[in-house]
Amino acid sequence: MRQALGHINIYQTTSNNYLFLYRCFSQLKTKCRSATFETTRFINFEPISRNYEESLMKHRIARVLFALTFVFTWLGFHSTPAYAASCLNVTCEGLNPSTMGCATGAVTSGSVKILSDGGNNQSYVETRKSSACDAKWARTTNKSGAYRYAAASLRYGCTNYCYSQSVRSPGTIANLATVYTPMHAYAATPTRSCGAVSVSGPINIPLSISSSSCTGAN
Amino acid sequence: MYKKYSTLSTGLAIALMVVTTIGSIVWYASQPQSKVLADTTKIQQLVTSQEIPSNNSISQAASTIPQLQTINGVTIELTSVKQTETGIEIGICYPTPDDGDWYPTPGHIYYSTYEVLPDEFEFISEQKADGINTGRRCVLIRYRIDEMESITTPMQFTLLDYWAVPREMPPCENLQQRLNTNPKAKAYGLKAKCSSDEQGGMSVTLSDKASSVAQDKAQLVLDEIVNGIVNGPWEFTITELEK
Repeated sequence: MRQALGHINIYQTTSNNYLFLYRCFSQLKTKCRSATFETTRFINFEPISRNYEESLMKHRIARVLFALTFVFTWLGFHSTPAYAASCLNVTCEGLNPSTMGCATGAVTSGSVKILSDGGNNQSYVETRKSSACDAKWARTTNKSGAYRYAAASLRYGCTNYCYSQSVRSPGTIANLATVYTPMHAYAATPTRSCGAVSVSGPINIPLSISSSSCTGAN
Repeated sequence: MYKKYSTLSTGLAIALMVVTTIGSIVWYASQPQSKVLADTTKIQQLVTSQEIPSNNSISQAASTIPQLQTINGVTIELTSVKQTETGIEIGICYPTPDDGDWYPTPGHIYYSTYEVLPDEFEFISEQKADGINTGRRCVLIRYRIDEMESITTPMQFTLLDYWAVPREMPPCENLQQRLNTNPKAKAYGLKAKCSSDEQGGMSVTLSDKASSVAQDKAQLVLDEIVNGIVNGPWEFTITELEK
């Protein structure tokens, strides 16, 4: 049943009545206990009725917002990274290549320097670059055969590569594990990557340029 | 008064929910999306290293280039040997089981009374495995030699193994990508459940396989993929140097 109440329309349905009654309880306490859902009673409770549509709209908005919050939060937790590039050159500066999706399609730039321990166990340092992100970083791989401290520095700038992005492991890392630096913008930047794998540590960074522990310019 | 408080509190609640909703959307959008899923629809019959009888052979005369060396069904090709300004540069090509980042472990070279450690290597070409065919990677391995006049032949060169370097992504995602591009895994219909910890450790269990494949064989193949190493050694004897 629909009844005009001034400029307010009241839709008398079972569910609406329930909402109306709820508002009564919350606002008029005991008065509402005797309220019936006759047309005259609606007029008596005009102040509450005026709020009715507003209240209904607020409930709808709240429900929609709650649903959206739930859906996007769930998606955020359950989405699996596919590593689509999320930054480009300058916006990649200092960021993690993995979390920014730059590792997908990344390749080694130039040569891989072997950090030999004198035996057949070889660790590596190399420069990695991503065309999609237009950025570079250095990566050191521990292939010493045991747990080791590891560090890497990507050197760039000046004539002697005076700037760097560096990383070091706070503790030892497993054999076949890697550490990699944050990114430096622009894959075309001349760089050298330096690495260290050591039984003692943490290793001091940035690592200095050395022919025995750094790649050539790339 | 009560109505004012009610309206105010409702407004605040809605405003808070709007902020929360926007926050959740922004957070979701900041997460890199999508996932590579296993595709076992194109199963092909493959000749795998396990199915080939284990044999060690030099298929060509040791002194010629290219040389082929087969160990446990895996053939390595020695493509070039050069004397450079800084030492010796040896080219090899090896098959890659999946699209992982497969790195060689070159051994020392021996000639006369000298033993030289490898200094660096550089990838020169790569064809990635795609789930149907295995890949192939070629690399130049360089040995720095100070006394160039000491270089003589014959020279012994060994490739100890090659292995999949963990890429800059979560270990399980790396494994899933490798599994999806491994022809043997596809032929066997392998699917795996994987979990990793913050230290990069990984726990992998076989979750599915083709019905025609025995459980232990499927598990063996999965273990091979998880280990990510192809063992040699492949030994070559070099009798000629290109200058």
